[in-house]
Amino acid sequence: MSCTSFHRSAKFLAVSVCLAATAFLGGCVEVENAKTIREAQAEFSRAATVENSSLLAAEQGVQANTEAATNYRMAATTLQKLIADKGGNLKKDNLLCTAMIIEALSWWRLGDDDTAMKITNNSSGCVDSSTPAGSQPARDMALFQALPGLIRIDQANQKLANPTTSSFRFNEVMTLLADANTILQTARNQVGTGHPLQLYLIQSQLAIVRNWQYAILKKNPSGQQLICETAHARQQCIKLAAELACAALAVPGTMDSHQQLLEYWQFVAGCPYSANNNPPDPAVLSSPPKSTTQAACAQLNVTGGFPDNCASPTQ
Amino acid sequence: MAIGLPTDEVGLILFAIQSAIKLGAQFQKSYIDTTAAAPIMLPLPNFPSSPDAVTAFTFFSPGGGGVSPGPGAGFVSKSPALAALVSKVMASGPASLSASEADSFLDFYKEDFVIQQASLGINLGFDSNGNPARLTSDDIASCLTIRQWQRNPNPTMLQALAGTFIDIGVQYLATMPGAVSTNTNEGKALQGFLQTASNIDFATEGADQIVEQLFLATVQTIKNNPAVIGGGSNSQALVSNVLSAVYDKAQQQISAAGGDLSQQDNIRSFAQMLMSTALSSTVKTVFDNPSKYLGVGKPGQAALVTAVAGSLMDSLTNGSQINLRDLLTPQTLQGIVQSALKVVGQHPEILGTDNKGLTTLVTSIATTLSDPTVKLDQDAVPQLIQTILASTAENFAMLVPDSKNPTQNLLVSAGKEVLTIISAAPPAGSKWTLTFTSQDSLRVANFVFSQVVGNPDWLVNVAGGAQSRMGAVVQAVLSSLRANGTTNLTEAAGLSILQSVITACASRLDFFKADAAGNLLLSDALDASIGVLFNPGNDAAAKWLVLANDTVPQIINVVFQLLAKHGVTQARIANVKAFLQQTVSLIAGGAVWSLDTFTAQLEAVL
Repeated sequence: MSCTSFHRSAKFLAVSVCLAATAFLGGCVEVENAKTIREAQAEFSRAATVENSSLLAAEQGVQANTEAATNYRMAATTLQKLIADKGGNLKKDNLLCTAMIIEALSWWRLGDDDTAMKITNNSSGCVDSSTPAGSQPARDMALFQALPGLIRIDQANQKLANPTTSSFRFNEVMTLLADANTILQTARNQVGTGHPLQLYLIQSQLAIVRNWQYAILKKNPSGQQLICETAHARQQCIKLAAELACAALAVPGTMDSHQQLLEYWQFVAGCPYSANNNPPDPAVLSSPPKSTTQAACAQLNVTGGFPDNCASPTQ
Repeated sequence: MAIGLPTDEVGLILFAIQSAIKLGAQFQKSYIDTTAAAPIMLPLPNFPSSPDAVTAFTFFSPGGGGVSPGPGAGFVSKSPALAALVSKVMASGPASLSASEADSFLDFYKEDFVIQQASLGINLGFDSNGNPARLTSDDIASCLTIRQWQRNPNPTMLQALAGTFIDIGVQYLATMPGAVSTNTNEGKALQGFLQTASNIDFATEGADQIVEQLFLATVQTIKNNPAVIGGGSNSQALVSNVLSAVYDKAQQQISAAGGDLSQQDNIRSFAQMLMSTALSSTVKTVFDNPSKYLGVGKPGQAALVTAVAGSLMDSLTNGSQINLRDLLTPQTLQGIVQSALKVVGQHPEILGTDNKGLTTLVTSIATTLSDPTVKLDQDAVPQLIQTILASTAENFAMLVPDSKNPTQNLLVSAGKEVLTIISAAPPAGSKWTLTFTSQDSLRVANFVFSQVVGNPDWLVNVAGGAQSRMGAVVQAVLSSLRANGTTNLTEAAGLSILQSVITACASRLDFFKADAAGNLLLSDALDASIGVLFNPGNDAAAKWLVLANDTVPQIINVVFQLLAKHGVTQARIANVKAFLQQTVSLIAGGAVWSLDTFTAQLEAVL
């Protein structure tokens, strides 16, 4: 074959491949389903970005909340329909868990805890039995595990935010928060130490600490009772801050951001590193997270603040 | 999916459709996998996101009752206003503060928190919202955008599609008549590459990267070494055989490396170097005997060049205590490839029934010589591997008594014993403390290997001892030099003495006999020569002459050659000692001295 005829054949081949590929992909149902999920993922992430910015970067406003709710609702209703219509196909493509968890999380953020829990309770069959263990959606499955805990945190926060102080019951709130902490810890154990979801779950546990402190403020104890309650919450914060620093080590990304985040939580909960503590704070907090080492993390075994038993005479 | 052979435009259309289906299926799978793996931003549950009076009290808490104070407790005593606020919270609870008091309490907290953090080297500042951590949208996205898997089990869409594109391209070029001209030598060589590559599943993660690097290595080798393509169809077979071996092993090793990207890079780089070296350095040997090395004309017979490439890919990257891959240069690798090809060509039985024999041998050499007790500079290991392989090729039956167990190579055991001795640190109190360089070690090893090849009985143990004869000589000479030598003695002079003594012992077994006290006569001879010559009590004029670095090895050489010539007995050793003491005295007295006269006089004495 001459050079000219070779080039002509190659060009002919390229055009033919493109035409055939375009025709082949045109009506592909599986790709359409995945595309719908991607759009829902994008809506959900946009809503979460607005909410997280409102919380952590203090960019508050009614308009932001409305925008987030709109995006959550679009994601939830889109996926609700897709799962109802194409659940079997999604399961075969290993996408059902992903669709279900985004729907469940969206309902949670919209305040519809019952629907969120209903989806969670049905999530056990979202993985196709033929899916190899390493290919199962680790994040989504751990989030199903964690969602009941996340819901409890919001329920506790709602009770605390209730302006009717007479309806506030400290023990009831603490039960919700303690249960939530146990549930999130179980999810963390499930997902494994190096998974980036640890960052999210630990911060959710730190959100428990802040609600705990808020409960103390509402209860308004004094004297030794106040010292004991705040010390327990501080101990839990120290434990989680150390674990957050270590979890950040395992997640590639911008270490500066992780450091900023750690400082935020230490500031908002009043638990910066202190060598004067008894026992002293873990070594991973003695220097900025940039200097945190895997060796120090391997030794990490810090006592937490739960159970909160300040009511007992020994405290 | 196998794609048929296109022969005309109709064939091309069918080929295009098949390729499109293949691409479409790959795209679909990748798109779905990517959707499942896509990171999403996760919303945090609700919580008070700004500090409050409890936050401040947590920081300033005085502690007590078995509870440790807060990290900012030390600030309270420095400010009466702050102390008053803490006292009020302690007495009436955090909610008892008025709005202005709560604001003031928080102002103290923010200021003292920043001071406390500064003491740890963390400098904070406040933004307009009073947020000292100053979280930006990017920070939040970085910490709360969570991907599905810690390590994605699926190849990325780019990897999968790139693999499929290359797959189609390779099959098109490999099967399309004339796409690669088979009329030229270059075309034939590339055809060999492409035909072998067309059996590879490129959509497997990383396969395309390995093939890309091996293809580059092949093209560059052809360009730089035209002899590679001088063999016509043999070139095609050579490229195909080497590619097959190197690719298979590289892929296995990369899979075994898991997610260690650095390790994967190293394996690919080494595969590229081995591909290039195996092609360029084996041409003459392989093309002179294609039936043996390429299996040409002998269907079913293993191509030895494939076995060599595969064995080296395995043995040089696995199993030893050092990473040989990092120590090899193209030059040292070339030497190893050539030596390995030679030993396998002359003694194919070394490969064993499972083709693992060469791998085992090379791994054994590397493992033995990198043993911590050897203390050998690791840079020398590749050269020793080459030397041992080359010697083994020439003296296989002698050096490998059991061909089914190639690790029992006499040179390996000799090398380990001798190198362990010469690399050992000088014992405490040594007068001669120089340590040998890796080049010195190589020189000694090569000399020892030549002696062992000349007479394998060197490795017979000394009667009643754990050391071989060779080990005993090296140990005795070094011990004598360490105990008696001076700091002026150079490494070269020391090694020259060692070689002289070994050579003398090679021609007279009597050196290994024991004296009346049970010591080797060799040791007595060393005491009689080195002990006398290096005696610190000698006159300065004698030292000046006989201990010069070019003189003392000559004297020792003469002493040992004459003892070997005349026979080693206690009486002759005593004569040597007396003669040397007399010589030293005469020199101290101003007598004339020359090596020839010395040799003649000593011969007369013996």
